[in-house]
Amino acid sequence: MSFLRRLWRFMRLPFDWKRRESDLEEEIRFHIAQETEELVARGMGPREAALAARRDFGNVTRVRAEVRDTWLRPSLRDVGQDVRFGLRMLARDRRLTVAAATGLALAIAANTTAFTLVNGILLPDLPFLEPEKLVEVRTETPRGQRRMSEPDFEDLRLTTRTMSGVAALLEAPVNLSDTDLEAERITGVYATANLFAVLGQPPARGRNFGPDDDLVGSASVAAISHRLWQRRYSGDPDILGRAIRINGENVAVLAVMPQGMRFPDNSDVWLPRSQLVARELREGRHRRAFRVVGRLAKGTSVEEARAEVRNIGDQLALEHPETNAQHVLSLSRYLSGDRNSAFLLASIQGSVGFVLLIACANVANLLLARALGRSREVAVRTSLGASRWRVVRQLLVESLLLACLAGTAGLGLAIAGVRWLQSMTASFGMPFWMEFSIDHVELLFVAVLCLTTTLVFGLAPALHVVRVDFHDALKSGGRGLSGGRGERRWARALLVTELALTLVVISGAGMMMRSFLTLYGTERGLDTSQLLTMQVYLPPTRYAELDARVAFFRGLQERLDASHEIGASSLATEAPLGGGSEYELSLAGRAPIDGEALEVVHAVGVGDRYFETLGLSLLRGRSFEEADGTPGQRTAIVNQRFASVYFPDADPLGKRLQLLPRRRGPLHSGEASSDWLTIVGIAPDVPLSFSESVESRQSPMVYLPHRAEAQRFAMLLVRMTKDRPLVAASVREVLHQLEPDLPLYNVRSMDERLEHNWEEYELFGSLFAAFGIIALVLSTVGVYAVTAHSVNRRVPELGVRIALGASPNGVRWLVLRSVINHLTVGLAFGIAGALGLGRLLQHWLVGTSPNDLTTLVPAALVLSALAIVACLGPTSRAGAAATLAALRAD
Amino acid sequence: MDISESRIEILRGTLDLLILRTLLFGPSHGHAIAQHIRAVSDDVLQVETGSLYPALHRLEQRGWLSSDWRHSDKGKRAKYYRLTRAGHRQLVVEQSRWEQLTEAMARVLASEMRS
Repeated sequence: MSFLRRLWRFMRLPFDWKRRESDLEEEIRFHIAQETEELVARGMGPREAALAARRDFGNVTRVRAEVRDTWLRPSLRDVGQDVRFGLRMLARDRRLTVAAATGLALAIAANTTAFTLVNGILLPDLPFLEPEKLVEVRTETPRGQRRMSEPDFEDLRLTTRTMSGVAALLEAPVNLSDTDLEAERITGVYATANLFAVLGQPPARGRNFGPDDDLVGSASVAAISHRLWQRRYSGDPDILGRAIRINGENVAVLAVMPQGMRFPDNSDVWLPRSQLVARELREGRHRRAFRVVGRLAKGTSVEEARAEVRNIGDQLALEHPETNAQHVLSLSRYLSGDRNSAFLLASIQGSVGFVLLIACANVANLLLARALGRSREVAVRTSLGASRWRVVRQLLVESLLLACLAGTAGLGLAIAGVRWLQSMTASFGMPFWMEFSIDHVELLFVAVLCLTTTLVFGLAPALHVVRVDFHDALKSGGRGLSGGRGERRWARALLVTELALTLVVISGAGMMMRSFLTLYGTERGLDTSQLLTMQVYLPPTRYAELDARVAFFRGLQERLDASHEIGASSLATEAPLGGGSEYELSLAGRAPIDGEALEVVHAVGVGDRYFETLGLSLLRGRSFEEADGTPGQRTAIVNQRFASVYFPDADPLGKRLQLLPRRRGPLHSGEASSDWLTIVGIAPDVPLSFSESVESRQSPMVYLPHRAEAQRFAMLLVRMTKDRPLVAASVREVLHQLEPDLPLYNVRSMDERLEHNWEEYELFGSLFAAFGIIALVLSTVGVYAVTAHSVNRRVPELGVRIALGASPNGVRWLVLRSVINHLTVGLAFGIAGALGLGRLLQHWLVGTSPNDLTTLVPAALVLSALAIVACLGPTSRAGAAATLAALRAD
Repeated sequence: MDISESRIEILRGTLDLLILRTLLFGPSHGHAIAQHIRAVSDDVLQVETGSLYPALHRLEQRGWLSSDWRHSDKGKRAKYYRLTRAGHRQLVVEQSRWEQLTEAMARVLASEMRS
């Protein structure tokens, strides 16, 4: 125990220093006083005596210094000794050291990389004043989480006492056009004028929005991001007051925000909410379009604010039951992350934590094996007077050295891992607050990992060694200790844990990879190469009417068709595989039964040359023509799936259908939707989208003439016959001639567009896969080490068995059987764990389920095969070694 | 004869043994330890305060001594040192080592005289 006490005393030293110094002073004073008294007693005068006593004591300062030295030195000296000895031991068992350190380094690197990811997403550093006081208010509806409506927000703003300010905002991409610069599309935010005040982030230049800006009809002003200022306006020093064109309107720049501020995610311009032209978003309590952020008042807790907001929500539900019944207002810390990503990230951090545990189990097993080999040495040292704690400390120092070695290597690997993470996520368009970098938080994390792992893998062997009976160790004649029951239980428990955890991690990897492959391998139904997609957005001011939009799109399509640089092209409301608007379907001659829910189909508005552009030919019927979609000529094309579902025995051509806006959810009602539409063609199936489940990908679809559906957003598809830059430039040119203010944005090839559907899966799947591979390697090494050690240990016993008539194969089987037993138990626990992990990941799984045996069984088989292979070497040696032992029989 | 001339500088490493041995009689403070050594050795062994206190603190650091503050027989507060169990063990080790050393020294010196 004295070691612990001394360790404690050493750690307390900095805090004890003052007290110790004053004690020492008193001790010296006492000595001199005592000496003086004695001299006086011998007859010296008091003054002389005092002087003599002091002289006799000698140099007080030096004594003080030397005493202080003793407080520090022995501890340091001992530690230095331990470190030197530890390094010698690590160097002696070089192979073991390298194996253990490599495993640990990989695990530490994986953990640090994962932590960087989690830290970047779930624990961001917001560059605002007291970011921990920012909260977000949302509406919880029976159908999930929603934003807030403007009237609800206004009521909240008037009522709240727990928040010092509440701001509402709405992100909307806007067209940015200035006379001398190319038009482009950027992310804008319409917000209440108090937004920056609530955030605690005043502009870097210019003035903040004032209360007047909240009034409809106030001057058009905007705040722009530092990035936009630098990039588009080359840091123009006279930017304040300069007029820029947003959605075709002149807006004066009021302020430039500080660098790096792009709240909420990637915004470049902030406008007062009063300038929001899309008035419909501001009307009615059922339009829950606004994000609401608030700042907690001084001295209020999140819980108090949450309770208050809930009360306000309940009150609103009572006052406005038609829109707010069963709607609850909820409050959470700003950016506390949505549940689904939190689950995913938790699973990643969890499984990578498992990998670390596996590595620790491995190292613990290796060290345990070695420590037992050293029992004799320890016994000798103990009998020579080393305290057991001294021995434990020695072993712990060795473990710590190993962990530091692995930590350093792991940090290097983690830096590479984070680079990889950055390159993988570069195209994600991540919000400004999401940053993946290794900074002090990550370094601290690595340090904590090293210390914890040291304790985890170092303490068990160390404690075990000192518990060993030293007399036995000495008597056993230097053969090393065979290890008691306890040690074997340890090793086995560690091995079983290791196998179970590995199965959990690799089946997680399997599920994510399966989802990725499902998405990646989705039948696209069309040739996506040479297909270019781009988007156009018509500002609401001039294109509020359908006629204006139709006229614009007709002009655009005519010019595109006339150009020689551009191949076949078509407008559409959505890109292929990009989803569609939901409608409720009603078919002529099939009156819906009262109370029966109508079936939901998806519709996409497409141009006349849409199918030609996609390289598809209609199975039957004809494409849209000039007259389609005009009054009196309401037509539709359906896909094959639609035909087979709704007209299994009849010819769909000429049949009529009606599309009704869905009575809940967002309304995308085109004017034609309640007219009767005549089916004029049948198109081949193209999946509706990637992100839905497999079944809904083959859903019935209706194509409508774009001119009847023309919204302000349009997708433009081009089948390229020339090089992409040339085509893009030509389209841009055409658009510019027609309307100089309009930017062409999101110019991407179809393949690039599709990649967005799986890039998250690619990232997270790769992470899981990397962890899975590390886990597999580690546990294979673990199985090998434990088996090899156990064979060595059991050689005498096996020899006896052979001498008594067992066959070498029988002996081999004996060894193998114990591995298989461990494997079985490990797999059982592992399957339970994998099912649990699957539940957590459920939201992310595509084309597979948490209970999918086709992922779990192969994972288990791979693990078993590797484990068996790993123990084959030691097992086959067991037979030979045992035979030899039987012959030598000492 | 002047006493100071017959004093012997305490050998390095033997001070620890002297301190441990002295404390075998019971807790004592630094001054008393020095006095005791001087008295018992008939003033031959003179403990320098400059080495006494570092030694006491070092022995305490190593866990062979423990200390507490008590009132001395004259009523003043003094730091009393006491042997710990480890200190007792250490005393045995050091004393036997010392005995081996002196025995060996004696043998060597004796043999030189014979030759």
